[in-house]
Amino acid sequence: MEDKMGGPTNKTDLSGRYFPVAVYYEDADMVEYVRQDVPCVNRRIDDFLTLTLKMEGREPIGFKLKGFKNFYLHYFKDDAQRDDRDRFLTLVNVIEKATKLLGNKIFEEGRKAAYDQAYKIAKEDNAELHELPTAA
Amino acid sequence: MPNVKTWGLNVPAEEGLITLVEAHACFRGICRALAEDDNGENVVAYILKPRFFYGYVTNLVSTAVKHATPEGLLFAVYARLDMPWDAQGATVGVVTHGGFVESDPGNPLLPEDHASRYTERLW
Repeated sequence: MEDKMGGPTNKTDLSGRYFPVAVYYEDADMVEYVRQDVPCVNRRIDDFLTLTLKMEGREPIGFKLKGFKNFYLHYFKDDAQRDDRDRFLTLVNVIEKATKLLGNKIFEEGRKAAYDQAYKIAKEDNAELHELPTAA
Repeated sequence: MPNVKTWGLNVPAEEGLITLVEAHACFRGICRALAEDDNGENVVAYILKPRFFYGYVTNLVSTAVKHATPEGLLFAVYARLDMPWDAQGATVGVVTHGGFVESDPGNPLLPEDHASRYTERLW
């Protein structure tokens, strides 16, 4: 992952390859992970998950986890153990936790398929954050 | 960005682009948590319909190429309001993010599920 962080963005080499990384946007309180650098469309699934789809063909290529710091403050912060803080940085664990919290609601309006797609992307790419949101 | 305005594929480079003040609809409240705000009440969403947008391309001349926006898509820009908010005065806040969203088939100028994804329509 170190190599990925030291990639084209740091060198401002616009002709370089795209390396996907999970990014936390503090002002939007949202984590974004997108596999490919292509034109895309956001499809809101619910108040926590938005899928990122390729503009052409609508193939899922990423996701946004919204209210990320709020989610942490509500469900992880009291758990002071270091292991659990580290688990929070691995996005597949966050999606798993959100799925559990949704319970039966996940079967409403195609939510399950969307959560499964986000989970699959996070797991296949081992998507993870490198640090917790500020002041979390 | 080098050559973006002069590359034949992009000329005229600025035609069909759009600015925030040209938003044809605006909503307040994004019905989702945002940090300590449990329902994103202090966020506004500007809805635009740009004719074109720029995408990344690997090319020796320029790395940005102009695309026509496909039908059925709108561009939503989100801004977090500075509080307290004066509804009669100028809107002050920070643009936090944006992106293309699918439009409502019944009302192509508004985002899909706009009735449930936003709290209030401002215009």
